[in-house]
Amino acid sequence: MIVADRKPLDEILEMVGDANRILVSACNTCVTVCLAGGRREAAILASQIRIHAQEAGRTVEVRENCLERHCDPEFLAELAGELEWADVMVSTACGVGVNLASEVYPSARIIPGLNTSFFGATDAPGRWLEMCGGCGDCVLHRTGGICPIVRCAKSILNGPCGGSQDGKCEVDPDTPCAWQEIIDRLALQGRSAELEAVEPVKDWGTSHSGGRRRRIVDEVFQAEGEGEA
Amino acid sequence: MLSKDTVAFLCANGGQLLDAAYPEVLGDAVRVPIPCASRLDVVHVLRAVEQGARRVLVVACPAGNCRSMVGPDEAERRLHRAAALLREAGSHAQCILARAAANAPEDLRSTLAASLEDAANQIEEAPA
Amino acid sequence: MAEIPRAAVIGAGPAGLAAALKLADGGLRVLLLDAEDRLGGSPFEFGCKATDRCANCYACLTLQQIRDVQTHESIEVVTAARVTDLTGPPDGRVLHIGDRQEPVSGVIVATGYRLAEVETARPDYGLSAVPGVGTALELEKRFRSGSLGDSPPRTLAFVQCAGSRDSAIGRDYCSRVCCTYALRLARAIHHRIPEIEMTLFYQDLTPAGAGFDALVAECESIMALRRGLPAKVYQEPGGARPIVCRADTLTGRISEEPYDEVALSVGLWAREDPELESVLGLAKDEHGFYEGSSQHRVLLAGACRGPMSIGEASEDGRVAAAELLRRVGTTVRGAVAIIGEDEHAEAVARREGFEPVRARAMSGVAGAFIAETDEAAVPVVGGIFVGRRADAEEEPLPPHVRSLYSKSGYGKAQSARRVAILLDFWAPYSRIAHEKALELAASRTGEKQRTWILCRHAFTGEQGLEALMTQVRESGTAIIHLPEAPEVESGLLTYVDPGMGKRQELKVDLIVAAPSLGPTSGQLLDLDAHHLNGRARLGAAHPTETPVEELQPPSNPHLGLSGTPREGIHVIGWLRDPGTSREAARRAEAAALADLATPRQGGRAEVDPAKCAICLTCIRACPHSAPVAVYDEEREKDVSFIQPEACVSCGLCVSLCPASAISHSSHSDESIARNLEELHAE
Repeated sequence: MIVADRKPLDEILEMVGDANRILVSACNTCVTVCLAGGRREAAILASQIRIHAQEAGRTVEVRENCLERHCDPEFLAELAGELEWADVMVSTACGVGVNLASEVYPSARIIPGLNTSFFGATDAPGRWLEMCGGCGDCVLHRTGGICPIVRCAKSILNGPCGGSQDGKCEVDPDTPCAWQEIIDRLALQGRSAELEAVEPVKDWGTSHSGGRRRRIVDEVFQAEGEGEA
Repeated sequence: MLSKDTVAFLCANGGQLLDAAYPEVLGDAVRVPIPCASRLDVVHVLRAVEQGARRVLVVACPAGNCRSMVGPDEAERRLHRAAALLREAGSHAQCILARAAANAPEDLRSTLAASLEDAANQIEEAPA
Repeated sequence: MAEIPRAAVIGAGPAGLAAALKLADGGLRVLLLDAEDRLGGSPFEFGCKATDRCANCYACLTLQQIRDVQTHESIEVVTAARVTDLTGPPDGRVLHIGDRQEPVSGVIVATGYRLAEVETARPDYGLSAVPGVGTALELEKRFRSGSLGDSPPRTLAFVQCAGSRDSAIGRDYCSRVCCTYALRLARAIHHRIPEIEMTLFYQDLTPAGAGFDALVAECESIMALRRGLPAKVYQEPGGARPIVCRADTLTGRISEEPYDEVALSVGLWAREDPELESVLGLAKDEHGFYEGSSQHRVLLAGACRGPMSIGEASEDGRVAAAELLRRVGTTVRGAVAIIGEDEHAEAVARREGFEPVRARAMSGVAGAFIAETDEAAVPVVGGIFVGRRADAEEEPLPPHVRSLYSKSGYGKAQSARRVAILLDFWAPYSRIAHEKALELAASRTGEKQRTWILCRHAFTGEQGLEALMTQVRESGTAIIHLPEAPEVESGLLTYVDPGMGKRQELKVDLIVAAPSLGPTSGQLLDLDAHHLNGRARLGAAHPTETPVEELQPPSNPHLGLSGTPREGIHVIGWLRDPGTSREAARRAEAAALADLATPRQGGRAEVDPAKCAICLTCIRACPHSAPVAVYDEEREKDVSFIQPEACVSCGLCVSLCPASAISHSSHSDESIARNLEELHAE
């Protein structure tokens, strides 16, 4: 899932500025599960905004809602009426939701309530760890399911480096060395020999460069004009 | 003496029984019955402050005396978070967790006395 | 329509309150009578003794029981009531309460105890005569009101057994609860007013339940515990302080020491009520405690039967109520799992109309558990885990010492000539070990047989044991109190006699001792598996077996003496608190009669599947394993579902749910918002 963090209130308030009608819109998917931006967190943020205004002797009107997903235009359609009313919308969806809502409602002021952090998994109740870098060229089959892109500080593909000490990474003694973990995992699977193979230089072209990445499933996707004949 | 600007969340097996037997301890505080301290909701604490509460009190059972095992600890964590959220929003409302069994009004009294004194000190220390 | 039968409960202390609630929950109408003008009985006088943690005294539960009784629609409460007669044929009894006459199907007598009359029984203790001498209860009241803290004494002495374990006044029984009471009170006082120097004088420290060793150890670090009661307490000549004059029974030293205050731990005596006793045909034991009734369906509960703690009295009240329910024919039926052999629990279950199932593991929720036997999975309504000594692993004893619990120990000791029995040196204080030691000593009646019992504290806190100890003493068994274990060689014990200060040697043929026991094993509780008629998705896929020793229930008054955080599951025996055989039988009975089949009612938490994000927060957080993930066919996705049978309606999940998808039927967000509106009332 996408893991996010609530922005500090000050930052949100600065973005909200002197808007009087504020919509806080939550997303019932990843950010609900990572306890950052679901219905409850939206209610908390809304309440904080009202309290802050009260303390400053101002009156603001804050409404809250929650969409099933902010990353599909159909669900975002629900926002139309509320956005007519609102001066500003604080989205507690991830960055995807903020982008899409802004695209669907180009004239609306939509601001992020969260910092979108990473793709991660629940490690323990209340703790999430990054698991995937979204590099577009997955190597997990060679590394025993351990992503060197995000779990190695240097993102190296032929590790470990000289900074691996007692299974820990030199950048932080609490961080396990991902390559030590990869070696241990492959040894467990009886695949240590595979470590001999040199992974060629990674093509970062599939990653964050050259603008927005896209994914098309031809079976479903119809380009404009197509299928109208 | 607590006045109407205090909201007291009272658990059914502790605070509510204590309050029924010794109503003078909570004075005029606004009582909110909850089934267990673990029903304490951060949103409710914030709403109470929105509605004018200057002090939020949670009366939870002593450790090892919770009917549903984890209530007092849960309440403590949530009240802690609520207090941080309130500070972030610029509110000076005070959050107090008291642990007192139903038959221990003296425990509640002493927690309240200490907290009220604390709050008074804070006000004195605050720059004019 | 037939009239719903009515039962009367006389006495509204912990036993009476618990009995009334159990009877009313069992479908009877209940008349709850008390001679006082308030409910609660003796515990109403006691305060909370928590430090940073609950002290497990159960006193606070009385307020909860009173509320439950007062709000129960089937219970009528009459205070300042006098029972004057019981008339009519067995199937048409009429109870007379002054002028009022009430047909009753049965009566439970729960009139409690009274405090010993120390002024007259032990005038030499100076109560009401010597300034600074008071009762522990008076001390507690001053502690709670704050006046003790306002002007604390520098030194304070507790004196145990004031009015009990005293054959000179005909009270040769242990009041069972006073040691725990005094130690808990002392600990609570130390917590608040650490500057008071405290001393406690005792005969033996007598435990009243699980955790006693820890309590004693804690108290040893904050106060002086000294063996040997005062002979008298008198006023300092020319001064105002009480002087405690005593012989230390460990060191033999005689001392006269002044204390600023002396608090007497007053024993428990039988209540005397000739009118009630004659009306209800109550038979009394030699100390005046009730033993039974000659009348049809008149049952006894609580401390009127003999000294017991608040928790034990509540349990006793429920047992008596269940017995009365059975006699009037209103029992619940179903099967219960019994994990670990316990014939008593099985017999009680069978008598109550439950089919006992010998199981090796169980899973599920209250009212709908699955018990796994060797052959099949059987639906049951509840389960009782019985820890047996035989299952437990014994910690090794020193060389040349045999276990009191083994054939080669106990068995051989019956016939050996010179036998030493060592008790609480290598094992935590164990009531069953003391009972066994006394039984063993009493059975050794051979002409040339000689027995020595060596221990730190002797346990006599149960009916019959004080008399048994006297009997074995009189027939020649020596009971030697030592502060620590003697040195052991083959056939030889060496110790320093605390009185004479000299090394003593004791030649014996056999040394037996109570070993420390590890947890019993071999029983598994499938804690995380949620079967739920095959609908559960999570948990069932990854069942984990939890050894039952990990289920060691936390001490918590709300769970009673046998309950666990899981509704419908009880743990008794060696897994819980190895009591005497009599206590074990009572506990088995109480567990078998507990609310196995009728989980708590009340509000409940419910998930709105349309809002549920199946984030697992509730499933992970619930301490009662009530939420499970189920497949919602309509929505074609997993959603959380809260099993009502397992839910104690605490609301934890409601307030945690990040999707605000869970509502609480009796404490909804809306109702709490309405409460908060009061803030605007001014």
